[in-house]
Amino acid sequence: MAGDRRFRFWNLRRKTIAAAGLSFGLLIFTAVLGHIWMEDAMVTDFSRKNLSPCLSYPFGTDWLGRDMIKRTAAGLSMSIRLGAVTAGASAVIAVILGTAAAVFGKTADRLISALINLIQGIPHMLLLILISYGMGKGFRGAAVGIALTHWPSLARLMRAEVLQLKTSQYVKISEKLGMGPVQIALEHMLPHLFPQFITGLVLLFPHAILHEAGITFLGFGLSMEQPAVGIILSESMTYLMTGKWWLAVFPGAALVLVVLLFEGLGQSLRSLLDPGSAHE
Amino acid sequence: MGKKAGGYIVKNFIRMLTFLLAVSAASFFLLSLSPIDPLKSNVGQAALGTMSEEQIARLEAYWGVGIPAGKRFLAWLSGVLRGDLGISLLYRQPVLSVIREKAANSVWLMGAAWLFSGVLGVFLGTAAGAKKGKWQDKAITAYCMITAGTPAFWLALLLLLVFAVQFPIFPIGFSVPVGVAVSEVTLSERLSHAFLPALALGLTGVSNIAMHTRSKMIEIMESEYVLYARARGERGWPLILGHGLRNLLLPVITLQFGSISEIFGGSVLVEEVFSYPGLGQAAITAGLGSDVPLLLGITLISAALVFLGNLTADLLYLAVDPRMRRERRKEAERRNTHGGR
Amino acid sequence: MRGRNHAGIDAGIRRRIRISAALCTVLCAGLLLTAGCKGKDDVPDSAAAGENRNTAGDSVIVVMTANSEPESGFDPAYGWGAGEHVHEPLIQSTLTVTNPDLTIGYDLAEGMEVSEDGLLWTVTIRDDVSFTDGEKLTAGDVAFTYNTLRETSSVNDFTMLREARALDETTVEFEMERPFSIWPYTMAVTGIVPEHAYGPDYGSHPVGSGRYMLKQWDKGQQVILEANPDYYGEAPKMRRVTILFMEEDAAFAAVKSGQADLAYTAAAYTDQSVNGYSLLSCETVDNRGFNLPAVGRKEQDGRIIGNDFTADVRVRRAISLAIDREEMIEHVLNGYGSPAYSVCDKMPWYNAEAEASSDREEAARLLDEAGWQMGADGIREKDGVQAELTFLYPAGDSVRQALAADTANQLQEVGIHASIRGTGWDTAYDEAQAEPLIWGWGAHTPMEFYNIYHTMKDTGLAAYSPYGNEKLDAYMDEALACPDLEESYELWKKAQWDGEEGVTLRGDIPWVWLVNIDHLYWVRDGLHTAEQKLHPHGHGWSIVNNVDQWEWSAAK
Repeated sequence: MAGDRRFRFWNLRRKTIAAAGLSFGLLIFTAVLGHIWMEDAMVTDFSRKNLSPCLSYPFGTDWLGRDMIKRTAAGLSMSIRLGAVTAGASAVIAVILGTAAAVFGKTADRLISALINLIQGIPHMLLLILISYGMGKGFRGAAVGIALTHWPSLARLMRAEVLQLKTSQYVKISEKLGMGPVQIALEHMLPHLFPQFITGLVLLFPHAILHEAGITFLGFGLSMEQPAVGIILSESMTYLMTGKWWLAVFPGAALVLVVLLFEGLGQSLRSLLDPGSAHE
Repeated sequence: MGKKAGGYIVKNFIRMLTFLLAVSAASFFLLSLSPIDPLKSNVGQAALGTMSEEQIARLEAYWGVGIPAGKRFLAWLSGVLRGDLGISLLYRQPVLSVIREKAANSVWLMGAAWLFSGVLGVFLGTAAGAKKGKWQDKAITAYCMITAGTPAFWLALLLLLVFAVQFPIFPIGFSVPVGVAVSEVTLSERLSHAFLPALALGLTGVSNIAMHTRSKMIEIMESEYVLYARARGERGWPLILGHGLRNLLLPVITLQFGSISEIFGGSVLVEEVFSYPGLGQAAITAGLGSDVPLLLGITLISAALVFLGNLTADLLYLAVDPRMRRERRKEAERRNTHGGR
Repeated sequence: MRGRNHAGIDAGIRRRIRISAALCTVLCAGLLLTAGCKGKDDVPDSAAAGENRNTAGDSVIVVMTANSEPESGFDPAYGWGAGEHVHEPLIQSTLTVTNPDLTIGYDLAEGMEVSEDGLLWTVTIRDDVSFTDGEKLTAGDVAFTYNTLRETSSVNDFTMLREARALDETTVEFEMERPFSIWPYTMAVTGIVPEHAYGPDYGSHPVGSGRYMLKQWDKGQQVILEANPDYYGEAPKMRRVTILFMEEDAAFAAVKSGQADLAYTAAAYTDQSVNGYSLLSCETVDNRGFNLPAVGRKEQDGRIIGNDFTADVRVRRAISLAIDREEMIEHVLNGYGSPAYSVCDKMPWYNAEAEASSDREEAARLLDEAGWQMGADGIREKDGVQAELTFLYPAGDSVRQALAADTANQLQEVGIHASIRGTGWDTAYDEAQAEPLIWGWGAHTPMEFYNIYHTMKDTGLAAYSPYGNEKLDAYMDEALACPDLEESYELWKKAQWDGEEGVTLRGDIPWVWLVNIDHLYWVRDGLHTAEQKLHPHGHGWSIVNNVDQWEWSAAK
């Protein structure tokens, strides 16, 4: 009788929180570790070049004698930090423009929607190349490019949400009471948008990171001695033919892991903040 | 009905033109911002070392250094309206012919990847949806999640490593075998060169289609008519094929047409890995080499393709979903009655 | 009601599906047509196209860097032969050639004279030469070629030529703008094009009188050359040459799969072994080195030039002495290279005084003397400033990146804190005015030496790195104006070291030269590639300069 319904500590919600916490923790850990290892990651030592994975060098070394595990961690840390900045910027742009489109009337809406269509109409990689070229192929260009290519989808979402919110009663009442659109947006809408915003932001990370890896892989963005993952992978291409597989396999797998952690974090947040979606 | 369809096409044609105009203006603007000196990145350091200043001035004129951007844009635009996309600075041929050459190669790649991701995606999605909750579903969902987070070019690297280096089954690159005359290349050789790149592209594109198919499939399996069919004793694949597929395919096809943008973006990266001489590689070369006319031309053409893809998706959706049609008809009637007054 | 709608909807759906299907078909057909169009345009002669596998022992398949493909065609005006990487333009003939020891020999020319003031060159040519379309090659074609190149050449510089004139069928006169003693070197890489068959499309359909004809060109992939049956000189031993353009790893794959007979490769691949192939290492003058700004840091024309640390000649000398070039060759090139002490090692105008072995103690002494004292952390200091240097390298070049890294590591031994940074060519030229950049030079002409060390009129400093020495400028000007090529070599040598001053270690040493990289190739057993000239900068066509003399030892 006492054991009819066992008390389950780990219900779905708690499991989700734990998963989210774990992902978050791992990501922060990687970012910090990579940052600490940044200097070491660039040290070249020709006496230890081209070593395959072993105990002292779990990810092996490359042709300049750099320790690949440190280089990979540094690269991931850079990706995470760059991802944070670009995804953050993207998300902020998305919220501002998405809300503005819904709140400031038809012309603003049409203009912003046209802008969204314009950006989404050009394949992402091509747009990144264009922006990166326009800003001089350096780091700034790549970062700006990534930030500017991702806000449209989130903006669309925000716009749809705000349009819906506009029809709710308390907003209508506020309008009647004479509150300006900006005030309404700030006081009534943004708090409701917050959950969507956070999940959208976290889910932007994977795209930002993958695009950053892509654009640096192609040769736009950072210079070659920097430990960015895209650079590591593009350099590894040269050495694949000579059997140095560890230069490509480990960094790529680590990248996939980081991306998956972000995806997982985003999904957990979504089910926590919007419980209805947890049972899809 | 015919007139309406005609009107629809005209309206969208105009939409496409304005869209392309905006795209070209925006791209031109972006490119003209660049502080890059095309001379230094193209003529080569050692050659510049043996050149006199008049020579350098002449080269600057060729690469368009020093002419204001607005003027260049109008010149380019008037060319485009006449069907002339300019001359590629790096290949020294008309941009259109460079694009045609490269696109012919890319078509194989992108087409194969597109078909592959579509077919595999639908297959996996239906299987997962039909067996919701069971291990097949979990495995397929996990697979899709992993491939969604995998960069296409890393997958391409892995495939290259395993199937072309370790076990030399497939060629390591290019679109045709080395040393063979173009006219002699057989279809199977072309396919074998396109296989690995298409696989890399396709595998990463599968997850989107598969997940959408899966949720559609779940919807269908829980619908009334399927319940009715089950009650009558239908089971398994005949059940799925008979009732599910038709309702499934069309949304999926529209999704496919809308994914042209993704395919193009992915091909840029995958072509680099396999040295596949397609549009993606041309875009990279043009970008790294400051070949502005070629880059603009590629942007224009790909934007047009994406637009056409989305348009086709919309058309298909409208055409075959009667509910959408009814909505539009009602709206049109409403508009007409208003105008009549 | 329901029934009516049902039927109406069904018919409507079917109609709509038909329309959509039509649209789809049109789209697909359009795409296929573009694919088809390409195939139609490129159908070459089917006869020769069939037998391109090496069955008769007189054909060879060579792999070169992807950059070697002359994207603008086989047109001398667009860099074919007379380009960034000079080589013999196999399809056309040239007036002169460079011999294996890099002195001047004759090809089309039979005699050559220059006036006292160096402004008029007169060249007589053979009269038994025809283009492959049957037309005779006359002095008119020569004059036409040079005059055209003077106007349109996009890569090489022909502005020192005022006009070329054909005096008769076999005599050409070159009137120069200024004395140019090394004109024969320019002539050695300038292919002669036919006046009657030259146009904008020449690059894709070149007609020449050289050893080979262009049989087929698949852009982006390969070029097929066939021996010219009417060639006026020694008949080429290799009848058919196929050139493939690939990246390093693809080139290696082609070798592993036995598809290529000769393929370029890099030091990174030298630890591999391939059955049936051996590694060929060609000596080169393809050097790598870095510049050291020889003036103090200041602003000029809106950019920063000069470097306070390297402005002191003792520091520059110390840096050059601190580098153990042999060690660098071991580390970076796996032993495939030779030390470089000048931009023109092994050329006829090289002054052997430039050579100096590494001496870290002397380097340390020089740095002490210059006031840079060793600090507690192993880095030298002077007036509170640490001895620091950033070595730039062109992004994408792994050998230069490795050289920069090794240089930095080696300089650490003498207390200089050096770091490395990649940069693109669009900004590298400006950045090199203030910081050392790893350059790659090496040409078959002393003009390069001039361009590196001679000051420019408007700035009073040399072009690529701020430096100037009037006495040495005078030697170089004299060398260019000298009517006798042999004599001019002596003057170039004086500019390197005349006993008191020069650009080498004991002199101003504004440039530190590191290594001459060997050009490496995988060669199939049995293929003899004949004596190679010293390769210049560029890992492309120079290997096939003498492909007409290659042969297979065993019948295949």
